[in-house]
Amino acid sequence: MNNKKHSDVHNRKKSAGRISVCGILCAAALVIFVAEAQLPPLLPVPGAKLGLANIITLFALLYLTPQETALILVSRILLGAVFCGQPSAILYSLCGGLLCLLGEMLLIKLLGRRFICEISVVGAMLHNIGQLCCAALITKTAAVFSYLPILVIVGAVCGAFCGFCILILDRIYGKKFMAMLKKDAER
Amino acid sequence: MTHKKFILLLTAVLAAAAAALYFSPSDTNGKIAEVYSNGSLVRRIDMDKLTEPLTFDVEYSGGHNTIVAENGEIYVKTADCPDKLCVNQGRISDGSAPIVCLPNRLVIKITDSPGEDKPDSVSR
Repeated sequence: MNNKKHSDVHNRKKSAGRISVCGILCAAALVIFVAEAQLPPLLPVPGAKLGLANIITLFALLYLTPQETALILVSRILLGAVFCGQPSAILYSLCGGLLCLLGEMLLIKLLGRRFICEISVVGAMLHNIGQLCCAALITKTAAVFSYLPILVIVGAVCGAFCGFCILILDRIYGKKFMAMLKKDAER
Repeated sequence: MTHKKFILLLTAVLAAAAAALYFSPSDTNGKIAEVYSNGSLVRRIDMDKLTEPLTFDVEYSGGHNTIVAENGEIYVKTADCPDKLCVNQGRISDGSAPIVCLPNRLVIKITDSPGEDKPDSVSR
C-alpha cells in the first residue's frame, strides 16, 4: 500500500483492523451460540436459555462503538439461525437482541462500565421481554404473556451468570484488547 | 446510583415477578381447550364432553404438531420443531400457562367455558 492510500485508510473511521476485530468477535459469538444450541433446553419454557452469546455483545459494547456492536449482534443472529437450521428463530432473536442492546447501550452511557454485571442482568430480562412481545405479535395471542414472570426470573439468573463471565473476560483480555485497538488506530 | 441501590432495584423487580408467578390467576374450572395456529383458532375442544382420547394434527408451513386431548388434559405428543419445547411443556389441564410452540406458531390454551359454572364432576 503506498503512502497516499495509507493516510486515506488512517482517516477512515472503519479501518480494516476494526472490521476484522468485529469479525473475530462475531465468530466467537457464533461459536458460543451454536455450542449453546446443542445443549438440551434448561426449562420447558419457550425462550428460556443461558444466552451466553450476550457475553460477546456486552464485551463489544465495552470496547467498540454501539454501531459496531449492533453489526456484530445482527450478523451473529442471522448467521446463527442459518447454522442452527432455525430460520423461524430469527424474528424472535432480533426483537429480543435489539431491545437488549438498546437497553444495555443506554445503561452503559448512564451508569458507566462499573455496572456491567447489573447491566447484563437488565439486558437478559429485556431480551426475554422483547422475545415474548414478538411471540405475542406473531401468534396473535396474549396468553404467551403468562410466561413473563418466569422469563424475567430466568433472565435475571442467566444475566447474572453472563455478567460474571464478562467480568472475568474483561479482567483477562480487557487490557490486551484495548492495546490491540490502540495499535490499530495508530497505524 | 450505587451498586447497592441498583441491586435493590433489581431485587424489587424480581420480587414482583416471583409474586406474579405465585399469585398468577389460574382458573381451574376452565375446560375448553383452544388451539391456535398462526394466531387463528383452528380447534375448540370441550374437555368434559370428551369420552375417548382425541388425536389430531396441526400444520403450519411444513411444521407438524400432533396434539392429544384425553382425561381433561391436553398435550403435544410429537412435533417436528427443532427444540421440542412444546412436547417438553407436558400436559396442561388449567388456564395457568398455555402450551406454546414458537417455531410452528402454535398456542394451546385452556379457558373457562363461557356462561357455565364450575363443572359438577370431571370424568377421569
